[in-house]
Amino acid sequence: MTSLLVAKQYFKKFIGKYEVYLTPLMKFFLSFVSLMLINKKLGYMGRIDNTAIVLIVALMCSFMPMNFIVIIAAAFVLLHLYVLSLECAVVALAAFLLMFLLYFRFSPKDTVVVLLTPICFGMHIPYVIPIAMGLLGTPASAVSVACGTIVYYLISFVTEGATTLVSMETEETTAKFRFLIDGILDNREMAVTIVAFAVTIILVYLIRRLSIDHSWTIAIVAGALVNVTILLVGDLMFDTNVSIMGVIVGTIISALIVKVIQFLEFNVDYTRTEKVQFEDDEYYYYVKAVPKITVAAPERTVKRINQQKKTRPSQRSTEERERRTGR
Amino acid sequence: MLNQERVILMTKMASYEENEGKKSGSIMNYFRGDYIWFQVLKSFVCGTIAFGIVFGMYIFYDFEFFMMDIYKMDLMEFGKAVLMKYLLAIGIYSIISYAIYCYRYAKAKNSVKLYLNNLRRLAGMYDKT
Repeated sequence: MTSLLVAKQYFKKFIGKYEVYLTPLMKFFLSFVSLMLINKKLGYMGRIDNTAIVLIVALMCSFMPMNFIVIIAAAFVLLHLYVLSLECAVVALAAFLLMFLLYFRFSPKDTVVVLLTPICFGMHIPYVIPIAMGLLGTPASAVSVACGTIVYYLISFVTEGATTLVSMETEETTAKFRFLIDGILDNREMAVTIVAFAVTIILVYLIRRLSIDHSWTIAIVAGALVNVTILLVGDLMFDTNVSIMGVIVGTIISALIVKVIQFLEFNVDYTRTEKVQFEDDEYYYYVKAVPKITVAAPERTVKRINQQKKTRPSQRSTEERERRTGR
Repeated sequence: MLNQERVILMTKMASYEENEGKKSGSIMNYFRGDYIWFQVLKSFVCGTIAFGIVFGMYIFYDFEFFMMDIYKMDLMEFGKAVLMKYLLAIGIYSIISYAIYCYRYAKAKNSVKLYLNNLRRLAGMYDKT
């Protein structure tokens, strides 16, 4: 445990020291991964389905604000969908505009969650997001996570229904439109996932705010259990065809990842909890103070011992002569 | 000679100025009423555009039937129903944004007040020396 804490200290120190370089690197990595995933999943426009283009765009994103990455990712999705079918692009554009106009006007900081949620879905660990956002965010994060979930299912639906869309006649514009909107709105799996994630976020948030020992760990376990339960009950009720093993294994892995986040963000020693009580003119105070676990990272100091400089005998005799003559 | 307490206070204040202070400062440039109503007006515009998008999608979804029924339906009634829905939606959205921006203004005011108190404390420390 001590070695882990020392490693954490080193990690924090490292991030603090190289933050100037690490932030653009992280933005570059995030934009590169998200654009590559979009290209892999959609990839209808050959011009932008190119690693060199993605690299250039990701490099540009690394020096821009975080929200710019979201806009670029949305533009990539729209361009791919436009090549597949104009109606697809219109529906996706309407969905993105509604999200940006109605919700992200209030909380622009949360926009990155819209990007992270589909990425985690792609990595089969989407359950990290609701538990992590419950720990680190507020109940309002449920809306951001819901937006990310909608984006993922929108892309998935278009990918699955691409052959149907292509086979439809060009004149059947309204039919295509209806097919897309029905497919998105009648997606029960998406609805159940949104409800499960929203309930998980709110529950995790409420538990981690409680003044009880190990509240973060209890919140993670409770959130994971509630998430699995709602998804499985949703499967039974609405026949959503979710993989039971996938949900259980994915949730366990997600809970472990969130445990690592907890170690980095909230690591306290409950055995040294202090409870104090005092009063002033207006209030009584019942204070519970839980100390953080901190270990000072050992400083490595290298002592360099120089050996005595060896001088040649001829040089020594000259130095002695000079000393004697008093020069 | 370095005064540790003063350095800590100055660091905290510099960090505030660099991050949260910028946002709070821009909010505090307005009077409360002006700020809130300007933001609600922006929400009103955004809400109207969003309603337009949803309405457009709704019409386009059943465009053929809509075009067939357009000569039979009472356009005034239809217009009234749409207007009522628009007013309801925009009303709810404006109330929510009013509440959010009231809260944000109060929060920014408190944080700026705290910053000014710290500034006064810092000035007091300089006066002592």
